[in-house]
Amino acid sequence: MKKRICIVIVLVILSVCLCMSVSAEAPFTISEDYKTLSVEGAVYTRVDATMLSVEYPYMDIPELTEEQMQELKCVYLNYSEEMVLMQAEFEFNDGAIFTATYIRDDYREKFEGFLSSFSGKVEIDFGWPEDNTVIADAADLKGSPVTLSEDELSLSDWFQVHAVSEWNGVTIFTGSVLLIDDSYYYVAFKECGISASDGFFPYEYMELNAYEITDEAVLADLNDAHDLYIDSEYGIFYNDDFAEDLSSICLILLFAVIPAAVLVVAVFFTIRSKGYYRLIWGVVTGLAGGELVIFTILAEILRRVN
Amino acid sequence: MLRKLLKYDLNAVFRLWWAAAAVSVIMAVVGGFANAILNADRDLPMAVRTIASMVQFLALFSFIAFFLVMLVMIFVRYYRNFFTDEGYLTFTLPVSRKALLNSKALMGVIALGATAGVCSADLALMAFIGDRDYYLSEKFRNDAARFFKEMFESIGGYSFLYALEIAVLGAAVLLFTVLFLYTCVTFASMIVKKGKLIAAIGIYYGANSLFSFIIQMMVLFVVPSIMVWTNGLSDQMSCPVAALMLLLLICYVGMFCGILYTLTYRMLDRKLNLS
Amino acid sequence: MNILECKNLTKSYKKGHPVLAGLNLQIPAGRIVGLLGPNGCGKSTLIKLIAGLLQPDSGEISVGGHPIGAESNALISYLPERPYFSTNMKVSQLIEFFREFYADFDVQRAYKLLADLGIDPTAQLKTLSKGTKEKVQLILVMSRNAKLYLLDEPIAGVDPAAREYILSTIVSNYNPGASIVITTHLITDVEQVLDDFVFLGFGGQVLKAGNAEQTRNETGKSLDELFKEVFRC
Repeated sequence: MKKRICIVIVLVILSVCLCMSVSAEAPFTISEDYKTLSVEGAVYTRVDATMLSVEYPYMDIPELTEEQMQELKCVYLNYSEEMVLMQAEFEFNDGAIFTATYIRDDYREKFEGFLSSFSGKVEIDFGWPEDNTVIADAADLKGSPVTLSEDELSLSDWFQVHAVSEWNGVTIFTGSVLLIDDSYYYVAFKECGISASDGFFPYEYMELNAYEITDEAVLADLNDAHDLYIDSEYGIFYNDDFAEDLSSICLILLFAVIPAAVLVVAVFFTIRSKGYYRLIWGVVTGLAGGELVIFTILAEILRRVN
Repeated sequence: MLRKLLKYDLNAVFRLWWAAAAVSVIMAVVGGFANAILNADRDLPMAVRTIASMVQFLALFSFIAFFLVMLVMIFVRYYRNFFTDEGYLTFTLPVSRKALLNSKALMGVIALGATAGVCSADLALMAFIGDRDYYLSEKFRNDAARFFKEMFESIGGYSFLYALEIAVLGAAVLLFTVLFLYTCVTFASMIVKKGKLIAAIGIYYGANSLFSFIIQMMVLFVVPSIMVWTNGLSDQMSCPVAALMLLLLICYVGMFCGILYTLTYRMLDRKLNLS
Repeated sequence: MNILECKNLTKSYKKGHPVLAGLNLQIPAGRIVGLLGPNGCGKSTLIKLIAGLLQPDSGEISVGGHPIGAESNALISYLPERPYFSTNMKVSQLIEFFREFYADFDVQRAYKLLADLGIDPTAQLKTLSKGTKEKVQLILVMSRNAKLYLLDEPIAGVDPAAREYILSTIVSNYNPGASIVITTHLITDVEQVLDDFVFLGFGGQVLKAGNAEQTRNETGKSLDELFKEVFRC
């Protein structure tokens, strides 16, 4: 009996050790040129992701070998949906950081098929409300070439443009539509050497080559979508004559009419009061009067500037 | 007499202030360490990350609570001193009503100003402890030097003027906060015979909510207009215009402080009925 | 010379129901005056008007020639009917407070009176009994060399032995050139210390006033008996 129990215990321990060794994490390997890596048995190869928009909801930090740790401090692996795409961030011992995107080998063909399936149709996404997009031919966005200056870029509103197709949560960004002073412009990322994955902010650029969108049909659609965006986001409070007038009226009410009323009342009570009351009403008179003087000076300066 | 009144008022309010300030500093240190833990290791277990984040939140909450506690202390001191049985002593002192009100106003501004100062120091302490290596490093010194250099290059001597104006505006806003509180409490105590404390709290809360709503609406309507009008300013004009705008705000807030002071003084001077 | 003058004083808490209606009153210096009347006749209201705690609807009040304000407060030592100190303070801190604000405050007298009563100056007010708190209050008020003492119901709600102590403290510690106005409805206890009396009726009307001793001699009645006669229900 005792012998049987001992054999059972030994067998259990052996099987646990076996399971552990079998289920031990497969090693993380990287090729010398960082073009290929394998993790948990899956092989990934480098891919150009500059035009892609991908979400990476999953993260892993693989265990590095002694040899790898001679060069690398840490590696972070960010996976897209279905673990198809992976963005690897390599932190080196000297502090340098290198980021690269990889596609799972068994999905490469489909991925390349997706990249080349670009039909020329693009979607301009206004972001709000949901599905407020304009679909157009990429060629129709390329009207007259222009160079946008720093001032124009800093005053622009911008909206993402991506190819009308999506694969496993991956979208190709082709560029951005800019709205400057009621005119629309298209910035093609590839032509300008802009990486979509870094995020695009027009105000960061001193100048940019773009195309002024001149196609009437596209312009009409863009205007409709923009109006819908404005009305949904801001209502009457944006870029509307009524809103501007209302804003100016409130400004004058707040900083001119109210202080003027206070000034009249304060002057009246300053004259009528005696002693300490006269002093404090006098102070209120001074402050109200001073505020009106400063407001008048500011209004005059800004009126001349505008 | 004002100095004597202020001495007793400050003693009464600062009795609790030190303890509350000590708690906020301790929370800043604890929050800073939580911050350091979160920054140091990206591979922490979820539970540790959650606890550290909660500690950070508690630290920030404690700073707000400190400020609110001081506001309550100032309210209680004013109300008790003037509108409870202690008012029999206060209003029979050989001091003028204006000295009584001025002492309370100064007490409020000093207490809230000290509290705001400690809260700001707490935030800096929390940030420092959270990222000690960076703040002690050469890089931070260089970044700070570059920041100030760029600031002086872009706005020059106006930076001192702005600092002065912002300090004065801050004091004016604190004075407004205090006087608004006193006006509501005094008004409540004048119109209500019984339940003065509840009435005072109710009127302050109601008036504060209404006032905040009006300010938010006005800012919502006014700010776009200001942005449009100042859009075309040149670099040379933007600094003096900004200085004038700050001065405008100081006069504006000061004007309302004057109105509130006058109303409160008048009620205390002519309408006091301690029965 | 009159230390206190009230001219045509009117005060009402509710419209149409004046507590005081056109009251005229003069209190000369150096007299102990009893302001006597039934509950609700306006005694405390008058005292509070003089102390500056209430604003009259009309009329004038002057104390030592000054209108009601900081100057009159410096001349008046007021004892209200209820405790009015912050209970967080110690007795010694209160003494220091009075010393700082009142130039006529006699610190030594205050400590002597506390010692006579066995009250520890380092004790916090909230640790003292109600009666002791009232005694502390009385000591602080009577330790001042004021021109006018206003004592609002100083012996109400107090046992007879304490009443005797309070009255003897009042009489033996006040500034001799000053006047004391005592409001009370417990006339029997108070009348032997009074120099003058004022019977105040409802609406603040002075129904009878005069020298206490002279009136007792003339009428052959005590002030208490006279009071009952005047204010018979």
